Amino acid sequence: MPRPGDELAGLKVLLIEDNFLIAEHLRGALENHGCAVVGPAPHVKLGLALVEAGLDGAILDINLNGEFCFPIAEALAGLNVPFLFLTGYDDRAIIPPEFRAVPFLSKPVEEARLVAAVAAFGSTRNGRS
Amino acid sequence: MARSKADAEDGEERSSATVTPVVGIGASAGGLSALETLLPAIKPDSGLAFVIVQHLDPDHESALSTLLERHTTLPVSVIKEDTSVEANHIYVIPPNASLTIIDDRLHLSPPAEQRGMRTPIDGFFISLAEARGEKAAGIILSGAGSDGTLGLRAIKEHDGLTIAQEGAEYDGMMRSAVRSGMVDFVLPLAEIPPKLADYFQHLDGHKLQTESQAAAEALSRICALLRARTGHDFSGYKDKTVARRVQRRMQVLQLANMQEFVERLRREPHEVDILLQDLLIGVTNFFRDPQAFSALEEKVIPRLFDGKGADDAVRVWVPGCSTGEEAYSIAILLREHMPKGQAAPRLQIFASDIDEPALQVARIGRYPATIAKNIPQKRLERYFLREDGTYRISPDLREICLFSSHNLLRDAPFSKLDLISCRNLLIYLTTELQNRLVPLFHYALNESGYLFLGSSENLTRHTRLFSMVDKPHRIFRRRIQLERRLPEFPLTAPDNARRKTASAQRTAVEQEPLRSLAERQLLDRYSPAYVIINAEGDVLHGSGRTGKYLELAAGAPRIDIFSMARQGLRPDLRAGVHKAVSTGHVAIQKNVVVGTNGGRQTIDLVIHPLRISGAHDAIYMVVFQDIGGIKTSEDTEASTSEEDVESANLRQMELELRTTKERLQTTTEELESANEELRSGNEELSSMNEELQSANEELETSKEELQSINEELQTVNSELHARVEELSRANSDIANLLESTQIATIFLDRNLNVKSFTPAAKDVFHLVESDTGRPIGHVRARFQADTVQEDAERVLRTLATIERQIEGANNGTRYVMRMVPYRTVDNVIAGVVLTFVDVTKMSAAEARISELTRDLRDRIQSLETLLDMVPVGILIIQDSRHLDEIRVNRYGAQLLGEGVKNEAGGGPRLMSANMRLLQGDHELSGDEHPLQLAARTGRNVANFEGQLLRRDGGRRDVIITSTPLVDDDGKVRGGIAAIVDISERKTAEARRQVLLYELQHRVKNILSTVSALASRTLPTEGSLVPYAEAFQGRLRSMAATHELLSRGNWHGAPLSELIATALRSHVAFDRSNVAIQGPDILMTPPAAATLGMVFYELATNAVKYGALSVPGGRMSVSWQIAGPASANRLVVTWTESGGTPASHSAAPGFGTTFVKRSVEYELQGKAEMEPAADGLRWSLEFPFAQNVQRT
Repeated sequence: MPRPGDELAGLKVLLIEDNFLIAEHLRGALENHGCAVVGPAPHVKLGLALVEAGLDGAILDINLNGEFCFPIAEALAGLNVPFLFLTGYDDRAIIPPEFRAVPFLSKPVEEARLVAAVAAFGSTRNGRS
Repeated sequence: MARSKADAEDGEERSSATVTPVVGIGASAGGLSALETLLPAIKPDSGLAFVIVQHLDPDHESALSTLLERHTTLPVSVIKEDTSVEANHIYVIPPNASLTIIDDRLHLSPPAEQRGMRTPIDGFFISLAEARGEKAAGIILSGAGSDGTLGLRAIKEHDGLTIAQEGAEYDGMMRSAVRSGMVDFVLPLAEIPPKLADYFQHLDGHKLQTESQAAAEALSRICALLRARTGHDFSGYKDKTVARRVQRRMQVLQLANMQEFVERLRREPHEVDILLQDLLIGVTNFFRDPQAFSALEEKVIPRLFDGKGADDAVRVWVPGCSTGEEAYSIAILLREHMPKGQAAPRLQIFASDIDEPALQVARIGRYPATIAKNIPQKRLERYFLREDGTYRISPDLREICLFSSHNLLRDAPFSKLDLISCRNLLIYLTTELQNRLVPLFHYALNESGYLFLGSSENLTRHTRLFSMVDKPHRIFRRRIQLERRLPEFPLTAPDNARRKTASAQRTAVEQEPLRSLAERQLLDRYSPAYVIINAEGDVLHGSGRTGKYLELAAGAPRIDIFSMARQGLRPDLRAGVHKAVSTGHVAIQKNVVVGTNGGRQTIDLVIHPLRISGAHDAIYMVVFQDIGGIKTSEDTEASTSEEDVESANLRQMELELRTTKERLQTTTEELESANEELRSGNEELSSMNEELQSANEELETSKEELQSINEELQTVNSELHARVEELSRANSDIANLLESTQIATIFLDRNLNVKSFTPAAKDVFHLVESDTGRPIGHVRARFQADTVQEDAERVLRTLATIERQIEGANNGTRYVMRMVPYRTVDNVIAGVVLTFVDVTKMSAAEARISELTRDLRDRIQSLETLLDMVPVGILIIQDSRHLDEIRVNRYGAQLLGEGVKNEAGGGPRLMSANMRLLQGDHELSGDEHPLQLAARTGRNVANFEGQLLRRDGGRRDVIITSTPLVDDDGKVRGGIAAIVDISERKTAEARRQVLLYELQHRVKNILSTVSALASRTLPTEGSLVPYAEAFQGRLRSMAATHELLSRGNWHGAPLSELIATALRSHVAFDRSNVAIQGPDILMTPPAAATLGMVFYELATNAVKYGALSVPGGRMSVSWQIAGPASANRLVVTWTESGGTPASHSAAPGFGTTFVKRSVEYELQGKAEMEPAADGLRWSLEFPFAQNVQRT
């Protein structure tokens, strides 16, 4: 069990995950590190409703109960919000070419890796501002 | 003497370089073989056009052009009307036509005259001469008769070239031409074409310079040569005339330099004769200079008939008549003005020339059609006969004219003439010759006869002899001169001739009648002296002893009497003459004293007008009558001694004299009458001569006709000969053909008798040569021949062909027998032809072929069946030239989406439309398709992968392999392609990929869920044992749900099963106390996973704390569909009773929270729990959408 901290303090991150248990687990982990979690949202419609909440980043599960999350990814890219994919797929081939460079984490994820990836949103954000 | 047409030609210089020379070739009998030798020698690029005029039978089609084509590479064509003449062409006259050339075009007209009289060669050559001038050549080949001679003459007159064939088979035409002197060369056939080429080349290359001093000298040398050789003196001719003819000769001889020509003349005297001949060529026209002729017609012709009665003749002389046009022109005028009726005088025109060939032409009286432009239509119709493109003088005009060979300068002139027409002859003579000639004309004419000269000729020095009638048109009238003396003869120089004339003159003196001698003596001695003058005072004649009154005046001698009058005479003479001229009466001047030698003579001067009948101008006799003697200063009287004796003697002598005189008178009269008789005898002879001459001419004409007919016959004969030759050649060809084909052939006549047969026929029938004429039925055949007779009869009856196979009696030979009717060229059935073709080998071969064919067909059929059975599309291009003709097998057609009947076999069929291929998103053009590529370029295309666009719009993934088809020569002739449908493989691959992704996704999600579950449940419990139990229970529940889904092949899981499985995972589950009720509903796999866990939590709570935790507790689970059809919802009610009531105070555990939150989160639904008195009630509600697979 990793030690909680505040590495993610001040970051507002959208979480898209269809599985309730996993979503709760991730939210718990992120909040333990001081992150403000928006969502979690289990499907695209809700996810799209949340993208304009002044996000610093987003974590997207690709397969949302049979539908793909890419419309949300497009919306985020349009708003210059950084995001990463957190998915059961091992193969990036499923991802459309324009998002192949997006950070890609495979489930189940180690908490430290997730935190480090989300922390990178912060540095991007700092670099932006 | 000839006259040239020099003046007419000067204005006719042609731009010769641009004109194609035309060579006319005239031929008749024997002409065909001559042409066959001549034509091969003509070079194809000679630049000349050749026109062949052959005498042809007018009633037969001529094969001449066909026969000639074999002997030349030049194009040969039969002339049609208005054919244009081109260089390096040969034109042949068609039968029954007259040919002329005008400018560059050949014209045909129907011949007007009966056969036998026709002269088509002349007709064409004359028009050729006028159309081409020096750019014309005429060639006379073999032929009898004289056609062509006139034509060559015309060509030569117009400075063209004339050639005759040497060694002609029939040399009549050629001889006639050579005799006329009109032929420049007589050559063997093979040398004619080179000569033509050289001549025309030289013609273009050299134009002679005749103006230079050197040329003049050369000319005078030529004249000297001419005089020496021929006796003709052309030095009097104008240089230009001579030069023109010299130039022409030089062109013929191809000499560039006059000096060379002189040398040639010196070396070859024969050349001098030829030059003379050329110099004598001349041309005159009818009514040349029409105005002059109309003046003549108006002022002279009518007067010629004045005072002439039926016994008289109007006599006209035309010296230098050449070919007779002028003579005939005058004859026409005379005819038209001749008084009608019995009293008409005879007309006689003497026409003379030294050019015998020209006279020949004149006598024939035939002229080219071009004369029509000089002669009014009326005269043409009246005086000419149209004859085969020429005009012939009508006989009544012809008989007026008498043509004779006569040298004006050497022979005695005709006399007692009323008119001399001598036009354009004097201009060729020197003044000296002219001066001698004019008195000759004066002598030849009757008193007041007329002289008609050419427009550039004049008589200014001879006003004494001739007076002017019409100055501009040179018509003169003879003045009267009492002394009519034959001028000195001949007029030309040779001195021996002069001597002869002198003696002739003496003779004439001796023969003078005595009476006139006496009278003259008397007049001389005893009558007064007199002179005869004309009105102007010119002395025309004088008696002797005029010396007393007249003397030569000082200075140049003049014949004017006034200037000659002696002292004292002149005033009275002048007065007297004036008086006589003005009054017309005798004038006498008396006692005129004339100063004469050493004294004075008194005379009476009588001027007496003399009236001579027919004379147009008066003359006067001036008589000097002496009165007394000459008075000198001492006037002596004559003594008269012995006067009586002497006077007696004198009387006697006078008597004798008188007797003698009387006798003389009688003798003189006798002599005169004898003279008269002689003269009339002479006249009779002359007329008889004329008659003979015309009879001779007639004979000549009929001879020509005969020759002409003969010639035509010969032509026909030679053509016939050629045809016979051709026929026999064809015959032998046929014989050889029959021999070589080895086809047994038998010809039968209408009665089915054997007419002839080929040697091979003996193999089929027992035929021998003597069987000819026997019925075919009697000839034994070497095969089963029952039907031959019958078949032949049927062929004759039906005219249909019979063909059948027959078998030879022995050794198995087979024949095809054909029977056809025998048709003659005129399509008359004249029998039957039987042919037997040996087909033994052929039928064996045929059998073999059909066997092989059958085998081949079987194989092809198997292959085609195979082709249709293989599950590979096969496309074939048979022919590279037709890339769009593609045949396709059955599978291929189906692949392409073509409608194919569902039956096997039939082989590849033609594709109904082009197929479309995609490679990625790019559609290939027709040429890029693998099959076309292979068929076009011969390259193999291996494993091309692409998408086939079917007719119905569907797409199939295919692999195409194509390879070219190559013919025997290794050339690409087509292509073949195999198409394999790989669509299903591709689909399977894609589906596998999807499954793989799904698997990854599910496994990882499960692991994540487990991981989350593990971390979630861990800290809330104190001991690890119950935690492990709970965790394991949850994992089992998940596994059970998965098992359920797997059983349903991951399509979904039935709701009832999910509930049952959740309950069954707790052992306490018993059917009797649990009720599960609701319609069959299949949940989607995610919904099933969620609900599986939800029901597990609910069941766990029920077993641990709820209705199932106590005995007698019951529970029921039911569900129903609610909401409107568009938004169906599922409501699941979980009811527990008979247990302990649910506690409200206690904080909700993980299970309860999980149920509520996960239904909300994952199913977008709602879960609520209501506690009851002995249990609780869960109500789960969520939308159909996403969660329910199907009801």
